Amino acid sequence: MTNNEIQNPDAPDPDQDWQNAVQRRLTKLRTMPVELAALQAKVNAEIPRHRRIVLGRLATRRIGEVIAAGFILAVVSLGLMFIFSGGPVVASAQDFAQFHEDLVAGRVHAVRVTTIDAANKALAAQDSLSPQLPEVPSEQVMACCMNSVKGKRVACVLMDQGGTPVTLTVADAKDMQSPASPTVQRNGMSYHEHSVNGLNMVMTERNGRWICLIGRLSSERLMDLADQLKF
Amino acid sequence: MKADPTQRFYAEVWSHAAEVQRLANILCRDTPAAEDLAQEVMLKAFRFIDRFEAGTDAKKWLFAIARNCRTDRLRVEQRTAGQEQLSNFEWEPEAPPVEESASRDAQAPAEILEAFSDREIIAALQRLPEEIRWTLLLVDVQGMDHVNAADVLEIPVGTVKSRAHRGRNMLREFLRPMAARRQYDQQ
Repeated sequence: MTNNEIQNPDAPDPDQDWQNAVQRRLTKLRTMPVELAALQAKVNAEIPRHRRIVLGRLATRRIGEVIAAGFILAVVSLGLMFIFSGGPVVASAQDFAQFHEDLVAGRVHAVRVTTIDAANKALAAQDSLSPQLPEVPSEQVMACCMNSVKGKRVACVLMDQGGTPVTLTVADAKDMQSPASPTVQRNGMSYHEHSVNGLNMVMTERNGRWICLIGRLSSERLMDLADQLKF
Repeated sequence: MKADPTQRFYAEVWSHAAEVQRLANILCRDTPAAEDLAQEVMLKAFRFIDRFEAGTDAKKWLFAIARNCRTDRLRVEQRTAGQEQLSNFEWEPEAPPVEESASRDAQAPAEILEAFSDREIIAALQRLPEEIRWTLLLVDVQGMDHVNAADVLEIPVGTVKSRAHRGRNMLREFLRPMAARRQYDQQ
């Protein structure tokens, strides 16, 4: 620490307006959109590799530990096979709620679009294997982005439902499963209902796609919206 | 039974990835360096997820990792090229006395600052000494309280307060002449 730093921060400041204004201006940087695609791709690529390194170390341990390690290896391998064999992962209601909040708050990089067609094109440009979004009334479409949930691709579109933001997330039904929850039957469709901190979400499967609608609307409204989706 | 580290990582830590990337974007002067830093932070977080105590502040934990990664990187850079000073407190912008310069401003401070784009504000932040930049990033950009920022930076709370105060003054002295020049150009 230098002498410059020794000062009394509680002393009257002759230019407090500037202090406040600079602080407020810096606070606005908090909502600046960031590009997460590179980070997400790198992390997704590295995590399975890290697991292989851990397994490799286990296999080189002393003989006395080999039997125990072998057992652990078998259990972990089964887990890895389950996770990386292309089998479905279970969606976490908390994760999807957090994702919706981040998207609405601008903490997730999203592309502004006004139609589902534009959203599908933007997502395909980011990832050619992006799940196809179903048609929704175009006046509701605001922005779109790609997300990765436990290594599975999830296409997302943010919509405006009469002033309330609603996120529609779509994954391949082979990749994603709804977590256990009460189910509701409606118009021949089965919906899983979840609620996290006042955010409601409904999850269902249609035409080989797993969909989740999230927003501060009643589950009935979200199911109404799901009824309007055209696959 | 111990929770799966991958599941813990995505459930408890990943939701702060955007904040880590934003912090890196503001700390580093170019995009590849910012991406590298954010990646290193998130991968370290995954590697050491068992050291993260569930229910505690994940963002603060990530920022502490970011702080260590950044310090290590700067040390390497310093050794190889001597590019960046870790604690360059000698530098100051050329500033007129506050009273004199304040009387010069016809516009309100907030109005002057709003005229700058985010990119320009970040460029000004990047000209500040590393320690001052970190303090403003944590306290003003990320909205951390002084105590948590002091924990991340491993310095006393009073030092956080004085660095934040000093950093805002330094930013003001960077931006105010730029705003005056713009006004002059427009006239």
